[in-house]
Amino acid sequence: MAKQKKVAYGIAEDGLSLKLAYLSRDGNQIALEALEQIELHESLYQHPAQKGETGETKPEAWAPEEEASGPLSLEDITAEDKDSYGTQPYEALFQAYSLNQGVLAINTYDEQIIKLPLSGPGLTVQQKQKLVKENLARSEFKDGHWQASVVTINDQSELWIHHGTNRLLDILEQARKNQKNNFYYQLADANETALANLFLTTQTKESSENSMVLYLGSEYNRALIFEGNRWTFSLPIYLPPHQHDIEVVYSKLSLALDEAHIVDPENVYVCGDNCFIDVVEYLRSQLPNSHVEMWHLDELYMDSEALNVYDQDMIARFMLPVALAWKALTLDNPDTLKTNFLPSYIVEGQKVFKIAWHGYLLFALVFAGALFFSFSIQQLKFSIEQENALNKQLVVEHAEKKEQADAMLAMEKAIQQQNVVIETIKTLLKGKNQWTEIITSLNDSFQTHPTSWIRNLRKDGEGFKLLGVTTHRPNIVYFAGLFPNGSIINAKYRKIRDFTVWDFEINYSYPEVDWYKMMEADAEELRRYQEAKGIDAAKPAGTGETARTSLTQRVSRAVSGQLDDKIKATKSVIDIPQAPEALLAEAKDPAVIAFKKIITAFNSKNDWQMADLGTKFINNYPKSPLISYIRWYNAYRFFEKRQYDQANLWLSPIGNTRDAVYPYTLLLRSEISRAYGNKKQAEDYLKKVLSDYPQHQTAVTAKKLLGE
Amino acid sequence: MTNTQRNSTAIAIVLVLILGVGYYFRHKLSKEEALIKGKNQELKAEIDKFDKMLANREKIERDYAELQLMIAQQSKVMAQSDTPAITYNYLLQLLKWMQRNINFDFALSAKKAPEANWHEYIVQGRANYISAVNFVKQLEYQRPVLTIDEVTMAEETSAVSDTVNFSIVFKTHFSPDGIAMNTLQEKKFPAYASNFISFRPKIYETPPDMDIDPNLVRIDKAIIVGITESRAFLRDERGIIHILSVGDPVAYGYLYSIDLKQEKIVFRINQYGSTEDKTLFMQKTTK
Repeated sequence: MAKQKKVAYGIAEDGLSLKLAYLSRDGNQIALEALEQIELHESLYQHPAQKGETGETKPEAWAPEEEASGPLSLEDITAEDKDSYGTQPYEALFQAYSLNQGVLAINTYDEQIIKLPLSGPGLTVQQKQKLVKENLARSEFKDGHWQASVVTINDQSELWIHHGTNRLLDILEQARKNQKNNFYYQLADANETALANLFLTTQTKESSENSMVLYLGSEYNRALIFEGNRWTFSLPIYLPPHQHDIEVVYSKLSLALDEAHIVDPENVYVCGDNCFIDVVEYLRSQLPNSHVEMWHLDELYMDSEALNVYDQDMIARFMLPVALAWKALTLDNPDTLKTNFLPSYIVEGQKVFKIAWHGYLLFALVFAGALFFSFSIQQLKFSIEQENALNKQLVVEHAEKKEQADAMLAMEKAIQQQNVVIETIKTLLKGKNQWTEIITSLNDSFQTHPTSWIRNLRKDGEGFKLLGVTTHRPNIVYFAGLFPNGSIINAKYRKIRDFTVWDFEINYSYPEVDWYKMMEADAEELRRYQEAKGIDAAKPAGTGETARTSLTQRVSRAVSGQLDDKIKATKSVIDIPQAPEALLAEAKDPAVIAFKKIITAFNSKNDWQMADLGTKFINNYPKSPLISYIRWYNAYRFFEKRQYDQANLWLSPIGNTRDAVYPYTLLLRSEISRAYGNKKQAEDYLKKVLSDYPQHQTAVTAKKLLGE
Repeated sequence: MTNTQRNSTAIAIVLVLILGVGYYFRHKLSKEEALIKGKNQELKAEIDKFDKMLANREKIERDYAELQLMIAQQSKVMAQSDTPAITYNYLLQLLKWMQRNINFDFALSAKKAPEANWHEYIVQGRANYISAVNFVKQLEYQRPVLTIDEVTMAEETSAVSDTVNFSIVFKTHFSPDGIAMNTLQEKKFPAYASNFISFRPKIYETPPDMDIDPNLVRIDKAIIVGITESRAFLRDERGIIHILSVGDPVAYGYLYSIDLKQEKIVFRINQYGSTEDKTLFMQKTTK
């Protein structure tokens, strides 16, 4: 990006003349862009009432108006005054140029500068303040309408104090307001320091060589004497207003040089409004020992367009605004004279980022507020992150516990339901179905107590009745004691041929048969049988109705605490690694037990439980070789659920672990890549399986997946 | 307004903005934090609740395991539904499992109102005593819950019969949560086995009709014609001589002993249901 050219407008007033020089700087090259001059209706520093009254060369007649009646600003001009002015020509001048595009350098009114000789080369700030205070009215000092700079002439330092209103600045400010623009004021300099600065920074002279810059303006006329590159004198040439007769000028100049005891300088450079060739010729004739010429500023670059319009003679007449603009553009030059009489309020006003104590206080508050809120917001964010992490953990734990609680509730419900069924069965069977017990007991008893036989057995009221015959009477008593409440109703003697027999009749209550105990005994018998055979305990013995028992099978399996050793066969496109038996040999090893729990969770597709158990296993047994299997199983389950990011998360720590699980990891990674749509990567993983594990079972799968 | 005032105003505005925005975000995040903390508290409370519930887990799991085992065993189950056809079919199924045939009459004895969950049936017939006992056992011990209200068994009129007359009144119980009867498998348990038939009379008024081998000698119609230490010679009513040693069968019994000294032989005979000793003497009449 090209560096933007710096632009400066030098604006100088001198009597009724207002000149503008438009310069630009590109690197070290300063170029002339435009020169403009207008005539004012009246001088900025001369009250209309004084017009025409000023006689001859009396300085007091040129005194600024404010010395008599205080500073006059544009605000002080009445409507009547405005009417008399009409439209001021400078308004058109200022509108013609984009003054807001560059910096402005203006001159000050010479009469508003108080020059105080100093004893030393410089001043402290306090000394400067003190001197200013001593030499200005109290109100003027307090108003701050002053600016001071130290100027060294002929090795003698002087404090120059500019006081009062800079009216050129005022009209520029008015124009700025009218244009609703922002002007940037770089410099307000005294005419002589601006000219001296231009001479010193552009002319190189021998130290013994005396030079004189003779500025002949409309009202401002001055001779600046240099010895080599040292400014030695600044001589005012007092001329009456509008008096530019060269002979008068020369006589005043001669007088000034004589008073200063200066012999004819070797070089004389003439410039200013009244610098014309005839003036130069006259001076040459009067100063035969001097080299007199119009001050040509060869250092000022002019392009062809400018050359068509301007020449060095014209530039010499615009030397004052050119010197101002030049100084504004070369403030970075260490040789530039450090004088600037811009009012402090302007300087300060242009410091757009200046901050006062209240600003600093507010800044501190802003900082404190920002710090407080940043800290508290960060703290809150951190807390929220922690709570979110905790939430995730709690959600997992909650889901796990809920699942367990649900399973337990389901168990409780099932227990309750089954208890109802069992209670119903117990109720139904209570006091019933004792007939097998009755008949078989009777048969066995009658067999052991001959000679007896039953004639009839039947229900009788709330019990049952036995009718029998025996040849041995004590048998009747024995038979009566076989069942509860055995009551011999009768026992009758009779004869059968030669045998004596007794017919008897006994009433009984029903014996108790504990069917529930029998059911429990049946269950216990089943458990023993199944434990012996290694059969699933929940498989029903009496029915082929598998659907009915699938839930109970599962829950029973979970609650019975049986653990799996191996991953069960599942429909999978890729091979699933099985942990070698050698790793599971120590059945009582806590790590092996924990691993088996994970296998059980995998087989029952209890993914959350598996993830939780897997995490705990990894934390508790960080060096276990089973970790690779656990990571793979978890990754596989997430892959099945299409949560590929989670799958990758589980898989990544074993991605480069070349253990027994590694070929399976490659297969799973291939499938995950395929799921992501990255076919190339998926194929790369499969090819790696084929190249690294050509004899492994995963190679067969890899071939299939590659379509080979 | 000076630059410093303007700048201070701007900074003040920035301050207000910072305070406003900061307060807004802080308030928003505080709410968010409170919300997530609230959620976490709720989750923790629920987890605590679950933990309390799960404190009983081992006991419930044990109970459940027992229950599951019992369900798996299906020692006793309710039928899902019942009709006379189902029950009749079930009875025939029982006979199949018993591998026996019992002829019986079958009838629905009573039926409750439609909402009742049981039916009552009567089975009546005549069967081998042991088969009848096992039939009753099947009804009582097989998986479906049947309750026998009444069993009647009576002796057969024939003195030597193995059969009994029986009648059984039983109820079938059913529930929608029960199991279809046709899906049940046989529950194995030992059948009742005995050679003794308690319903058979042991002493008869008249000898029961029995098939006697005509080649066997009927001692009440035979006389001793000779006797040695180990043998006896008997002549029956047809004049046929039978030579008997101790233990040789005769009609209704066998030769028990030979007493050469007293010239008598003793038989053990069970012609009336009870064993009797009968003695024959040489050339003497039977006692």
